[in-house]
Amino acid sequence: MMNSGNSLLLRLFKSEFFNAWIAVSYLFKYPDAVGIQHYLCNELKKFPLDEIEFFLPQLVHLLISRPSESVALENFILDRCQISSHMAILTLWYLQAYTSDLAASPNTPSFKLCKRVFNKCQAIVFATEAPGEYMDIYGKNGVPKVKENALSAMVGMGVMLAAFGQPLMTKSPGQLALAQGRRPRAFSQSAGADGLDEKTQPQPQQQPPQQQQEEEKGHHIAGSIMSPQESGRSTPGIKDEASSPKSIPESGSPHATVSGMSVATQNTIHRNHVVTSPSLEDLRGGQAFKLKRDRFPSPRYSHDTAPSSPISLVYSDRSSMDGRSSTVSMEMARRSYFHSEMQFLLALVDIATRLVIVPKPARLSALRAELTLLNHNLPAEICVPLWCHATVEKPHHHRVVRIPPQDAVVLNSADRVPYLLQVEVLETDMSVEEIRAQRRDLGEVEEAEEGYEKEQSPDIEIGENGTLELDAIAPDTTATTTTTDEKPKDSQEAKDQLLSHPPVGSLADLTISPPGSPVPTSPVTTSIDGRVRSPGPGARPATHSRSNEAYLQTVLKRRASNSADDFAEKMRTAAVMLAQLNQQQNAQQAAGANGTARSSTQSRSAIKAKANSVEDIRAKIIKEMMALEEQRMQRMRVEGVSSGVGGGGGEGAGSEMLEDERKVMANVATDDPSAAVFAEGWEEKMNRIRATSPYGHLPSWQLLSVIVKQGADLRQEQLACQLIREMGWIWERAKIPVWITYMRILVTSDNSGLIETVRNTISIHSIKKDAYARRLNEVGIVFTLYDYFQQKFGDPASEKFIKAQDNFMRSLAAYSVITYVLQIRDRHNGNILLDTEGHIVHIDFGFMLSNSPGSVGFELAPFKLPQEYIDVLGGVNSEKFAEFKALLKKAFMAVRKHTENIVLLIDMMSKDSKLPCFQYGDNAAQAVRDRLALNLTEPQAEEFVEKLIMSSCCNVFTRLYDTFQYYSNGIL
Amino acid sequence: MGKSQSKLSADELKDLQRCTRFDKKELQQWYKGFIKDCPSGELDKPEFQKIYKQFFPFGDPSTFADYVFNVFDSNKNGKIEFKEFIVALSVTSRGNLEDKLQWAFQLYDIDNDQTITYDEMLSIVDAIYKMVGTMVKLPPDEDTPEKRVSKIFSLMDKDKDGRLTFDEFKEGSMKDPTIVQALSLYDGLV
Repeated sequence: MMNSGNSLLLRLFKSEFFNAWIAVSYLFKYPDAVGIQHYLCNELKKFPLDEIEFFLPQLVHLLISRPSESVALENFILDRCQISSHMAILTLWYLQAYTSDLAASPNTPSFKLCKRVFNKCQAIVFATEAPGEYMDIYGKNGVPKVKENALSAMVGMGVMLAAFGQPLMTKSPGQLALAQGRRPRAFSQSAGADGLDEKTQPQPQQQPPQQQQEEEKGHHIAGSIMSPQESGRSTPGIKDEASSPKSIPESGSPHATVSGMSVATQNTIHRNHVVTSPSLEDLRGGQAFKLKRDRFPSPRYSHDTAPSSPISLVYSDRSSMDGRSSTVSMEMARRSYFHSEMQFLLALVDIATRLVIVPKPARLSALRAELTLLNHNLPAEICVPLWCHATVEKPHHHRVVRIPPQDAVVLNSADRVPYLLQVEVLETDMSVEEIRAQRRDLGEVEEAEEGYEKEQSPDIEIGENGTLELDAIAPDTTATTTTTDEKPKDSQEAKDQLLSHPPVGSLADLTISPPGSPVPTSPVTTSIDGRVRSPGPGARPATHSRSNEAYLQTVLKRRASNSADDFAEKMRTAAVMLAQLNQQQNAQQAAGANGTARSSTQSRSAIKAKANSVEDIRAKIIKEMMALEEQRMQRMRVEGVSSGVGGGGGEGAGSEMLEDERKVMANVATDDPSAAVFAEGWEEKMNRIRATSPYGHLPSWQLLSVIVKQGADLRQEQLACQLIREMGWIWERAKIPVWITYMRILVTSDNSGLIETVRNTISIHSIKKDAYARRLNEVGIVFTLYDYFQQKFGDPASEKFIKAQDNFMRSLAAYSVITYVLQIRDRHNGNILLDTEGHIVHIDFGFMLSNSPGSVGFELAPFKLPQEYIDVLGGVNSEKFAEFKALLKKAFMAVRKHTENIVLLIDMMSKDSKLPCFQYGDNAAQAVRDRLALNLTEPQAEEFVEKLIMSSCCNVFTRLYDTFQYYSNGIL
Repeated sequence: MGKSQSKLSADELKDLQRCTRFDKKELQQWYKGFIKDCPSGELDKPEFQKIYKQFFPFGDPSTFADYVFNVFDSNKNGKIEFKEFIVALSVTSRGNLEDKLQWAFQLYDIDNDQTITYDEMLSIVDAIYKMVGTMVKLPPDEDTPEKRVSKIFSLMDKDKDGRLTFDEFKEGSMKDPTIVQALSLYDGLV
């Protein structure tokens, strides 16, 4: 039989061993085998979505990096996006990242494919028509027509011929031929998406073409009809709670959808004429979070090469006018949900972008100012994907209710400003209004908290940098009133010069919900001043219509108030202006550079003069920010923290909170995130925040802790965490009692994302630094991990110590295997954490597989096993060390047995990868196999592990690397 | 029209418009698609088999592909040209049921004597079963080619002469909704 190989394959696919992993691995093995691709994708639909979600990075990479004849994978991914909102959002962001990756080569099949799938995914997310797809692509019953694919047509016709012989056998091959037949052809007129090629190709980096491009896009979408069937042959909408019709009446005011519609329609008209760069006007008008380009507010975000601006949300006029109101309102609900959700996460990323330009000392304040304003738009029907437990079967998304601004911390890295924040969520189905109704008054809680705070505020000396102004402030309380009046004027001047916009207070209407959102806007604006005003929710109907009158009033109120929000707004306005200034300057410079040949000396001097004035403005803004900061600190001393930033919930009071502020600042000054996290235990922190949160009393209240990053591609970190997770599963299944943890990583683009923080950990670097700072050891004597264990867990014979030692051993065994197999490098003590139970945790996977820091292979040891680790275990001759070795061996052997599980994940990602870990060495996957010594017999392999351990023991290179880190980066 | 060219000439268009239900624009589009998929402008048997193998990876479609090839290759020159392809597509997507049945009848009437013998039917059904393999679960009375062919003849061979005429073929097909359904695959979609 000719196809005996494949019939064996079918037997495997039909066997009891078949699982998602096998399906994915054969998808990878046979990318061009149309029939196999379709079969496997059909099979994959039977597996739970979380299994698919695990493989999503690999599936998307496979799809984009290997454009094939088969449309199966593309259809499968989009089909899953239809079903799960989380999947849709994650996919959209991945595709966005790939779009940037591929932007340099817009004529490749990969880029075209990426663009096409991105557009389709976007259409799913925002329930708009994919650009260029018009009604004429649909045939009978709204089923999409086939395109001019001759080969699949010949198969389809053959299948029809077989109908008489055995009609039962023609159904699925017929559908396959149709699916393949719909594959777009580049020349095809009906494949309108491709017709946009010319226009969407990257333009030389100037603004006008980009603008034009956007406008064109607008036309296309606005001109298309939001058809009920566009989202897939038979599924009219997403089968997710997001679209569940009941969420509309619950959360919206009675006619929210109706009025929302008309607002939306009006906005469309406006939208098509706005220019690309975000103006203060947008921010003032509360449009900041509503429209597409504001997710990409700075020029670095607007990939002019992207197929369309990342998320275009243009409301089709026609769709709101025709009679399909129920479908439409359902779409509205879903769309607004997606929209708010993505806006929220991207707003967080934007903050990190803006913070880069803010002078260091003012960053924390600026961050809290930003978050304070963001908070006014919460609670909202927003969840954080990956953290949210909703599934298709149990579609209960959590709701983000609050971000406590004073618990956010700026993490100063070299040139980026990641920050850590806590997100309060409710695991509930309650509507936003119901949640608001249950918001509690915190009058008494503040008292309780005061006492609480007193107890636990430790005396940490204030850091040398970053906190300078804390000391610099003169205890002159009279200055407050005068400066507050002065400064806004200054800022107004600056702004008028710059943009001739009325400043400050303009952010009053900041709201995350898009027009037409089921989340009513009025309560949001009502709480803008931080404290709910007497009229209560539902008042200020004017804001519904967004009349200028209402704005004026809001603005006036804002001016009158001298509250923390006022400060927050000023601070944020300043930060935004600064960002804008930078952007303008960059644009000018670019324009200047382009035009140098033509420009006369005259115009060049004009540019110079302009640059100077820009510098002046910048200096002014920064001065203003510093003054604001000073003023805030002062006021906090006088009036308590609630007058500073972060009073949104009315919580916190008095000098204790200032103490808290100092504490956090001190931690920030160490430039070490883990210190801040560790200074206060997770439980403590959670309890404290819960006690002070107006939503803390609700039973489903939960706290998430994440780091927001901008300027970093998190995809490699994500891959590392995925691999660690896979190894964790291998050990779990093999019942090997090692311990690991992994972080959730949410990739939002090729240079931004969210990382979960590891709770209750501190870096070994910080442990040592703190010890030296507090002189816990005698001068000249090294403070080791063993000293720390004794100090923290007591006598080595004590139960507490023994437990911690055991934890340390189990985690060390696991991470030794992990770092060896994945060749995780840069293992200095800043990247190794210890948790409060003694577990070791590795973070930061910038160097692994094929790349390593620096040119010299400093880290030649298989894994890090310095003397101090051995000391914690009780020395090389101890029982614990023997146990460690035995456990490590077992863990190694288990991974070895399942090598292919690990290898598949790596192999699938490595082709045409942009990740640094695949840049050196031809075959990262093969190298993993080699490290696992697959050619050896089992006893030989165990011997091999023994050797690995021995050569890691006190490896001279490990010591060298730590010394090197100490001298070059000050890491202990 | 054997060799590849980027567009159909006016004469060719005129001719094709006569023998298909496609307009000029559609013909040009499909021609572009055809040339893109087979740049030489024609397909031979091995190439045709290869396509089928892509779509039926778990079975052996070669025999069935050859039978289908013969239906397409109306001028019997061993190649499928654009005209043969587009004429077939016109029938299958825009023809009426009788047109389609007439076209399908050719497949089963291997020796082209206007009747389908038991053996002819068995050859085709056997080829179909081989092509699809064990992918589809069949009812017990049809789970082998022999059973299926016996069933066909017991239902449709009215005069019990062991041969199906076109009329018997047509009548039997129209009575079976699954056959009618399968024959409407491309209706309205091309």
